[in-house]
Amino acid sequence: MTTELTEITAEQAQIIESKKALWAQMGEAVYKTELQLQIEAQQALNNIALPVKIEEVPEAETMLKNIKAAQKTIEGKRKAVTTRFDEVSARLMQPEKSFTDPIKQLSDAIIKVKKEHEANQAKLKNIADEKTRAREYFLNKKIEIESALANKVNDFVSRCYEKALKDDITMEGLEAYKQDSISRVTINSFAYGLPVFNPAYCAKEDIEAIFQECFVINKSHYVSEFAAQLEEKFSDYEVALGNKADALALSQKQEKEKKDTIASAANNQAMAVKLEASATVVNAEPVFTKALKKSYEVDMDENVESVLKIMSAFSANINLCLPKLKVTKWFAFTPAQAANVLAKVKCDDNNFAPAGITFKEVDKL
Amino acid sequence: MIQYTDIVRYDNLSFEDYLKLPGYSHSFLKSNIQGVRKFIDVTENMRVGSMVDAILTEPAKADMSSELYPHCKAIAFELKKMFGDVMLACKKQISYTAKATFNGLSIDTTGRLDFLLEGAAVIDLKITMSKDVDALIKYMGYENQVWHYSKMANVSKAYLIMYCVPLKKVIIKYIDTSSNMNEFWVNKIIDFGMVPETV
Repeated sequence: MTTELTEITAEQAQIIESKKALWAQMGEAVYKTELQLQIEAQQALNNIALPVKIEEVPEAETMLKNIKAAQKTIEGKRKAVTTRFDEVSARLMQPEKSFTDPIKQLSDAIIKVKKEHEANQAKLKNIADEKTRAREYFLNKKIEIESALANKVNDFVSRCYEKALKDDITMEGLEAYKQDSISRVTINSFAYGLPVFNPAYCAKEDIEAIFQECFVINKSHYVSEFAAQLEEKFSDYEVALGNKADALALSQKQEKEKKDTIASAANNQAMAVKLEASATVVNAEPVFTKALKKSYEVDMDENVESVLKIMSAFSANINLCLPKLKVTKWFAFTPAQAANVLAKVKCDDNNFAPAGITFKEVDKL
Repeated sequence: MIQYTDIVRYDNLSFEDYLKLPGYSHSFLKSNIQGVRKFIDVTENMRVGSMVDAILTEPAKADMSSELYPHCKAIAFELKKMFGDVMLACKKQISYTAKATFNGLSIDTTGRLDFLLEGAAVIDLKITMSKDVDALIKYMGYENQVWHYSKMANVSKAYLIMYCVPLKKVIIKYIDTSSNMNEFWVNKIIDFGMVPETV
């Protein structure tokens, strides 16, 4: 909110009165000077005669010299008046100039706090991302191992079945054969190596907790699964004994189908894990504060070598630079503008690295 | 609690035949005015979305002669680079009909999802010109759309795989669809529902 100047002191009133008198004199001087300069200009320009023949040229050249001299004189007289306004302009501009330092200080303070905040956020993100990676790793290992164990069960059952047929195990001996097979398969038959994840950002305890949550494999499940599948496999053994060749072929076909089913299920699970690891949740809450804008500036000494490098880079990357430029007078185009547009291209593409050009990253609000 | 019953799954159903299935779709319920389908002027952005969808899920329908095709192909490629393996593991363009019931009122519904990872999740593709995808998801009601698909597909997770054109970036969003309540669908069942005998 701006405070309007409504009351003035007696001292200020006195100053105003004296200024009124001075500005009245100034107004008179300006008006008189304006009239005088118009008269002088008209007098100087009135008698211009354009030469047509070569013998008229010397006189025209003298006239041109005189006119230029007259213009210079008028300019001098005008400046004698207008330079007296320069100090007034400077005084009037003083308040707006007084903003520069406080604005810079405030901006710098905001940028400093935001940078610290963003650095903290980046640390937290690294930790969160690593937890996600650890989770994905353990879940994928679990899927891989469970798939291998399921295949092992499938393989054991098929081998028992095929061996029984080849060894001519009779119906009378079948129960003992099955029990013997079941007794041979223990949780030790389903041993596997434990996955290891070495964290770079998280505490080992955090990774251990994720491991405990994600990597749960029930070995005894595979022992009982073997027994159950064995029972099912041998449920038509009497039929199989009478059709050994067909039974073996069917067994091999079923073993392969089961293997495919296990692989397909494992792939589905792995894809579900990938989706989970890649996804973020929807958060439509407004952001607390806008992130700092990262941008680039050309960071080079101000000398002729730098100018040549900048103009050369501009020329070499003209197709990238032109869409980012608005130039109406190309002859007024400067190396500073070229440097600016190279920085803009760099902002769009971090990999942009024209030869000889040095950029610095700057934070902007 | 909203209950889904009489769920019928249609694999390999063409889009034209899907449109003939009886029931309310999410898009109709979202945009109807007093029960009348709102006229939608198909924009170029919508055409891009449909074509990318076609390239990835119904290649026979992708029109290679369209001036949009090269742009759409590039987007589809970006999506494939990140989630091609997931898409390969999924069933595509599955249609459903189901009855959704809440407090004794029922509506017949339809739905056609882009991808189904059997037993795990439904996935819908979205192409957007908006940079703020979270706000877009809320505004467009995509969460309600995939909630409905999840119920019909009997899974409790949904994902939106989105390609953000201005950011040139693939973004994946997880939607928890395990709840049996959804405010949008409750309101629609109340608005359009009938007692079962008369459905």
